[in-house]
Amino acid sequence: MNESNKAIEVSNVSKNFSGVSAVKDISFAVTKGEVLGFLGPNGAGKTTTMRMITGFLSQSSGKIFIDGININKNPLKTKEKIGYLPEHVPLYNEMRTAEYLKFRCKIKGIKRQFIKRRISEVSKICEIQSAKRKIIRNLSKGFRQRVGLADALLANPPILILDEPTTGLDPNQLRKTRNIIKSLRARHAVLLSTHMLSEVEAACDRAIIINEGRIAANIPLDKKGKIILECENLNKDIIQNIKATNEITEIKEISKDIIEIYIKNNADARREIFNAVIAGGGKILEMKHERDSLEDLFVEITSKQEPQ
Amino acid sequence: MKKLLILTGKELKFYFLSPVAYITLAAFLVVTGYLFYIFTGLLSSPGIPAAISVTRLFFGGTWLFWVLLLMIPSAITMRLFSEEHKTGTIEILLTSPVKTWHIILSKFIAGYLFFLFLWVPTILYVLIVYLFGKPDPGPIISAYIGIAFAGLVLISIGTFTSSLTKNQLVAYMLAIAICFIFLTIGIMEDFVTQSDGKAVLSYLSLPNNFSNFPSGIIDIESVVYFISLAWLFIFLTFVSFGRGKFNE
Repeated sequence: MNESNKAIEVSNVSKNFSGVSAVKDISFAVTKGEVLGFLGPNGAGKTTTMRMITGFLSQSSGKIFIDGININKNPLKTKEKIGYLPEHVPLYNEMRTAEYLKFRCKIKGIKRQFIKRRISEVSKICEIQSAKRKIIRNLSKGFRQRVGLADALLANPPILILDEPTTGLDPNQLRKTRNIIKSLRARHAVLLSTHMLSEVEAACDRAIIINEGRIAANIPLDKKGKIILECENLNKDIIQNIKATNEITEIKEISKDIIEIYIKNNADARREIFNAVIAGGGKILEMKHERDSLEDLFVEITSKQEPQ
Repeated sequence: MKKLLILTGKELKFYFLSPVAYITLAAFLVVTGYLFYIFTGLLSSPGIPAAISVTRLFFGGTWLFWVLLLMIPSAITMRLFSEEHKTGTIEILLTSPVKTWHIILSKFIAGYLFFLFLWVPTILYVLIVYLFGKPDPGPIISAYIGIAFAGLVLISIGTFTSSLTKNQLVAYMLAIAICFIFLTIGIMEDFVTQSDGKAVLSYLSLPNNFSNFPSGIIDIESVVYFISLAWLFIFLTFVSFGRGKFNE
């Protein structure tokens, strides 16, 4: 059950709010070093699930393990391992940024001699040095978000849980925040919830789509994108040649002269395919690179279950 | 334990970052100053028996004192949890590696320390009295001890009501309502004929338990009353979180 490479393990967890069930029998795991995107329409149960993992809400049934530790058995230990950025980023508005981060360091049990260094490190990562002396109430949304993120990073926790870290940001702030999140993937297991599908495509290794409290899809994001090829004299040799190229995961024959070639993440195999077809004596009539849109998938999954 | 201190420090800091604290302090000093002025005035008026004790008058001798104890502690405590609920910061607090009872106790302790702090300037009144005469220090000291005990109860009630709502005003009114019951329950004695009933109501009354202190008597029965009532409300705060089982 508690394999050592699982940073977060959620098993058969449900949550009822006075009779209304918000999360129904959810199970998933985040492995170490993975960025898992948590997708879903509003009210799907994303925030509820994250709140249960962080120990803000108790689960009605099921078990949650952080690094193999049951959160109900040793909540202090598991809370130490999690850096959490709640939705809407609540912060103590009366405090100054540096003062707030110092308070958070102390609460997280960071030793006195490391506090200063840690604050300047995370301030640099999150680019909030210029806001250090400002009162949090006066910060812009983007700065607030990054102060919250800095807070989550303070204790250098192995697990990060970020609840909609990019909502309401302008494009510049968005890019900054996204770059920060990308830079985190090496050292932390990240569970990231968002509405922004492009975000998941850009930053995540895997996505879970959650709808009406259930997991609707679990999609590894390395298998996306396809090339549609229409070609005269399509024969076995050509297909064999194409298969031999590196970036191909699967080939589907649609009709006599049309095939769909599934390629690995971000790879561009068009030149190889062209060469393969020519070598096999075929003539290319059309070759189209089509990105498998997560958006289509999202809409398909989340709308068909919605009662009309 | 260290984290309890850190949290308490943060709560205390917040008192002085918000204007409510200064307004409370100012209102408190105006009212106590006024009371002191009236009572010392009484001393010099010829119709008043010479044996009357200013200490007893000042500490609980009139309803004004109890109005003060009704309004002020509730104003101190109303924002403790309500503000955190309203701004959502309770979420970062509860997901931090700290025990829930540390969070609750830190808020209670900070509120209580601020309550005690309010009384510090009133020592000035005592010093003024000493300029003109030689009152017995015993009853004055025990009166302050009585206030410290009564404060335990009033602050714990306010801490509890603050944990119930995200609206400071609701927390304030609820605290006043509960405090009001404990301040006036003694009146109910007159409506009960059973002697056991009378005894119970009398024991539940906060002014009855307080009344001995300004006379220089520290009654262990009253001390037990104050401490157990304070614990009851701190415990209720814990229950209101509904998560006692989580952080032990």
